[in-house]
Amino acid sequence: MITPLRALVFLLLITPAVSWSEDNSREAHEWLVRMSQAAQMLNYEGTFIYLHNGRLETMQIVHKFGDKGEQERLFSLNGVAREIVRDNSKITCILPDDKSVVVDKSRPKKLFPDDLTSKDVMRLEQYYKFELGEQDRIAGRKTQQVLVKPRDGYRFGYRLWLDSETGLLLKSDMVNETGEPIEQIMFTRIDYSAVISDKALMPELMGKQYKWFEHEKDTVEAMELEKGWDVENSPEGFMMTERGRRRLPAGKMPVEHFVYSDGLATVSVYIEKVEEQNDLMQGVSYMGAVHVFANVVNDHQVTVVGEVPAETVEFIGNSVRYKTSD
Amino acid sequence: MRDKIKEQISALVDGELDANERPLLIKQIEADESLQAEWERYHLISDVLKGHLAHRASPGFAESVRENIEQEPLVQVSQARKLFQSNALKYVGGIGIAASVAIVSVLIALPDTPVINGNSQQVASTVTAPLSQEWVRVSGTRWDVKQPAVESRLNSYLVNHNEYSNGMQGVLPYARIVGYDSEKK
Repeated sequence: MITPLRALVFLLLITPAVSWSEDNSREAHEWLVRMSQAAQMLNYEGTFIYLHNGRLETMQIVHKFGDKGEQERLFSLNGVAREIVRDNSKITCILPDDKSVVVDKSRPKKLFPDDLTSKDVMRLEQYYKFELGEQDRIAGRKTQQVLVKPRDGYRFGYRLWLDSETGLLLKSDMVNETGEPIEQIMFTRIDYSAVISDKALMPELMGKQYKWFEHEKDTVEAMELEKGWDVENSPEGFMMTERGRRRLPAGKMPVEHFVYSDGLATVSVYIEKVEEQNDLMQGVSYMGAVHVFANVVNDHQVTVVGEVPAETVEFIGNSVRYKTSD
Repeated sequence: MRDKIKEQISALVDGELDANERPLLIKQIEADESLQAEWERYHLISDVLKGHLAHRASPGFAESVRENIEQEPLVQVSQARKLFQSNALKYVGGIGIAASVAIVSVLIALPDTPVINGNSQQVASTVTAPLSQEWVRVSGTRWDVKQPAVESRLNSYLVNHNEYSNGMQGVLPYARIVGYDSEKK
């Protein structure tokens, strides 16, 4: 029998637990909003290490937010001196080992929705659990840990360490379903006080003999879609967020592009007519946490790319169909 | 002489050594293990003084990281094996179709993975369709494809995809491009 007293005791026991978890999750969200804004609006210069598949690399980053909007330069301190320069309009990748430069349009980045009451955040809660972690120290700075745990095996999770004062992401582990890290990034030095000159944002090497792969202007979204292509199915939570026909820097042929997202993880589907049969491919490959699944459908190369488990790119890749109109 | 070098190392750690003295000193440190140990000790002292002790690296840390990384069997490798095994089975099953339409044949191989060698050989020998494209999976740090055209296509997909991906990755997408295969010859 449940006496009023027992009911009261029960309530007292259960209530704090529920509200603790809600508070914890809301606080985690608030930290992520700070992180997202910090990534855009701060000026900083720092060194970080990138650990993936047992390889350790050191890179330097310079980020400026000013009258020209966001400007960023990232380069490798060891091995091949690859560089990326990014501003509000374009992203330039300089790859000295391939003697090539890839230039593509840049798009505004948002790490997390600004509005915590928005549907986007509610949708995220369906597929991920957000928790506030411990405090720690990274690159000499006090940090707050935030944990993002996937609720199924179709997406990866994150362990994030944010600068307690500025909110900047100073360490991040991308983890699989069992919590093992797949890719890690950690700042070893961060300087918010540096005045960032224009020179610091210029690429160091830019060979004239390099091959340039550049977007042809405006050929992109204006092209008519090839309506026969369709992705019939996708893992739960992944919805089509964009669809377009574009010409990519390295390609001669226009590419059909589908973008699927669960709000955090993004998967791209590229469909392209390949002239050379030798250049077709099929199978799964990966680079760090980015998995790729390639397939041939109706004489076209279908390539699915995303920072998701192999199961997810395979699932989507195997759902691509071509329907003739008659 | 020795004491002078020690003084110089201490000054270097504190960032107070004259710029024109640095190159020689760094050469000396590089050539002499005891000076390297000295260098580590001074860093330790400096860390202790600045209250960073909890996070200090143990002696020989740099060396051990390097060795460990070389020897470490990776998380990802075991995953890749699992993945590969499931894929290998699928490919074996799908071979009839693959061969009949004479599409692409795939050979995925992992280095140092005796467990799956049997499987991959099985795939390789069963697939008699022309091997127009070998897509070899190495340790997963880059697309290892033979045709430069395929590689540049994958690179441009990745660069393009990064611009559409929001998520919490911060600088990670760019780090992937910049660092993806520094060991490539």
